[in-house]
Amino acid sequence: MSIADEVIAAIEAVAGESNVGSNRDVNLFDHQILDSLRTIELIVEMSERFGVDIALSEVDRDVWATPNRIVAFMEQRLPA
Amino acid sequence: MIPYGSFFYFGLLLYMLVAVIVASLMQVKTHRIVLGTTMLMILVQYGLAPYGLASAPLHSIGKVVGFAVAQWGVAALFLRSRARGPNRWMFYAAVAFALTPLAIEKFTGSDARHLVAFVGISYTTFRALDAIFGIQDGLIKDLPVGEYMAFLLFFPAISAGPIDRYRRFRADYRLERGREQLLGDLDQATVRLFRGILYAFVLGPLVEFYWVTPASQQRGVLGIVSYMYAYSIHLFFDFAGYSAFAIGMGYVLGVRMPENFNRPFLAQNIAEFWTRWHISLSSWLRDHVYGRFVLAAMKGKWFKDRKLAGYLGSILAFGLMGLWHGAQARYLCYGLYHALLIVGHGMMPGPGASRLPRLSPLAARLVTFNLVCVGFLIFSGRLF
Repeated sequence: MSIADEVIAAIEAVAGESNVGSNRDVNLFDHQILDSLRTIELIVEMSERFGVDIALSEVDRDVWATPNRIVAFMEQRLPA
Repeated sequence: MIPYGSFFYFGLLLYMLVAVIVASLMQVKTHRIVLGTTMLMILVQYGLAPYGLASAPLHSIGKVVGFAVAQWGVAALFLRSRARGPNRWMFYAAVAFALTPLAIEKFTGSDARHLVAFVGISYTTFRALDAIFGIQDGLIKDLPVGEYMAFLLFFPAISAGPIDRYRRFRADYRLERGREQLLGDLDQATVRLFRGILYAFVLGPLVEFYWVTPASQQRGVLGIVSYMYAYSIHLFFDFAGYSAFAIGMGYVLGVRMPENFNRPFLAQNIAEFWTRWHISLSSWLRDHVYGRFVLAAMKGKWFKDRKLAGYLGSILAFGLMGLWHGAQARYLCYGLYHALLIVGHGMMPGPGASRLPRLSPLAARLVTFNLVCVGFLIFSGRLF
């Protein structure tokens, strides 16, 4: 799986929804796909899937606003 | 001298404003302007009263400077330790040391209190803690003393927020402003300064004179209900007004602090309310208390049910939010009341899953507004 697919799968697992991949620029917080609790679940989920330690203060609601931005965040975060 | 509290203060600000604009046009670096004005205004705010010296000016200034130097010392020592690798106990010790002056101020008798208390100690302590958390997470790797002092004591926001974040502040502090950006910032500043005047000096005092004061003398249940609405609306105008002054002054200096209020009484549920009211405090608590607790709970698998971790995190964060205002019982009750509302909101079935009809947006706003006002009634101290 590519990074993007893995990120989308993680978001879908946390949010309990299966169509997050269809619009990757949707604002996850405005549409209540993510909230405070799910954001943290997503951090745990992605830390496990990618095997990296993500600190809470790296993540804010701007950086993680849309699936695409989370993908960009992870691409930067992972060693190439 | 209380910031934004007198015409004398605004008069001084006006001179400073002109000097800052001239300096900005002459390409003086942002960090020089911010640090210079902050040091100067700390002397003014703690050493002067309108038309004279404050009582015990050196003592007052000494307390603030001593506090800032001590906080820098704690943060710098912790940074050195963190550079050798994460150590949970060093982190706890740094947090405990950073919290000590605030704890003395809130929870001890008058003698010890007198030694540490100054206007703005709650806000500056939360800023100092933000730096500690950033160091712990490995995101702050250097701590220049001037930059840290400017962040901690940034004068427009020292007494009324917003609570800025170190990494956000640093980006503005290091930015060189071009003429275009300066004009844009002055635009933003003008809007906020006028909003501040409208809220804090016109609408707030009108509500206070014609509604809060009469309602505070009115007896019986009706009197309490009337006072509840009056107090809530006055609190908004007063608080949002002073926040607007602070953010506006920040823009003048090139520090674009986050907004603190976003039409809070239009929120359709209590969780949304806390993304609109005193935003810098609620997001601080969300990230640094709720988030850290829940993340640790999930990683350590403390609870079977992840939602339970969320509920406990909310109770912790909102309880602390109450105590942050003071050690009185009413503040703790205010925090726990909101914790209850948030947990209750979290337990409600999601849209579509409930047999109850969904409230219209207007009804949802009304319910939320009234719940919030009950909270402010507890907060006001009218009840106990």
